[in-house]
Amino acid sequence: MPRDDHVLASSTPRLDLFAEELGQAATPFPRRIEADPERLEKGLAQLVLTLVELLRELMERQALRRIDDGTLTDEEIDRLGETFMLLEQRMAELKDVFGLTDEELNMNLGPLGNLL
Amino acid sequence: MLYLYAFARGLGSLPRATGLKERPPELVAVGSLDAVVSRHDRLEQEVAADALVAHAEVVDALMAETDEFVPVRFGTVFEDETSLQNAAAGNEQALEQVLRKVRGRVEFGLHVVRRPGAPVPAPERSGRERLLGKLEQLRAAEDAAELDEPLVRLAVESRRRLLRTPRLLLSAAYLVERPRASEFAERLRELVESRPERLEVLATGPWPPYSFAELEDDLRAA
Repeated sequence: MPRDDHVLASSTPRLDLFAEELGQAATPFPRRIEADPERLEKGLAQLVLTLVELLRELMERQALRRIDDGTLTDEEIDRLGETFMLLEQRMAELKDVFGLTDEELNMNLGPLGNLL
Repeated sequence: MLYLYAFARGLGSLPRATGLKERPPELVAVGSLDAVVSRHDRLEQEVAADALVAHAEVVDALMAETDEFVPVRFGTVFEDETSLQNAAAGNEQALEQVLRKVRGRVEFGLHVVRRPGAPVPAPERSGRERLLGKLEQLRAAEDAAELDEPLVRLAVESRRRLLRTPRLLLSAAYLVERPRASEFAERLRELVESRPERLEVLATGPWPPYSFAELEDDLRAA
């Protein structure tokens, strides 16, 4: 959240527009895989779902690229859209089951930045 | 307990700032560096606005005193001096590396959001619309990312993140040599002036180089 005395220039006097989005994007705490043996199940679920989520994101990006290139037919776009939506819903259910948040599925890879 | 603000070298005097909970900052020698800390009986886990400001004030004051320091993110606490010494010793090389990178440099920030009223894809629609909505967002973010190409070239190093939220198209941080800081600030102002109509742009800085001094994770692990 930028303090006023560090604002160099803004195209709008409404700094709250930025504050709101930055507040949502803030990730103040490091994300780690839970390795506590007593919570092994949650840790494993976190690891597996993180990977699934990564694959889902990558496939979705790939699909977007192909729509952008115009190499997908209308029908294919419909089908992919449906698939990705179902996948997202299923992921949300699984996250619920294991009590995981989106943040917990986004690992910090140090100098490489965040995974997702 | 010790609350850590930064590591510094060759500091003539202490940063002139109040410190967290009005506990004055002091220096603890750790290897060839000084840790800038304040001492506390206990510290709450919660993030309070005044605590964030106190942290920032100490590090800002430090930036005015020296160009050889590594800012540490808010909320880094050690049980006692020994645990601080251990963490610093275990991360000696990493600290030196970061210090070399950020020495004599400051950070600027740039955030680009969609104007209010500009459509943001709603989540509950058909799969096709959802996918096409995401594509539109990705294009908008990539357009926003092109805005700052001249800044990236002026900076020593830069970090850009697209779409941290559906409205926040671009968030960027730039590491800039201090002698070039005013030129860089001028470029940022120009960019804000000349932004496309559908976007709002916020430029910030100069900051202590927080985004390029990532150590926190290692320090805690040590």
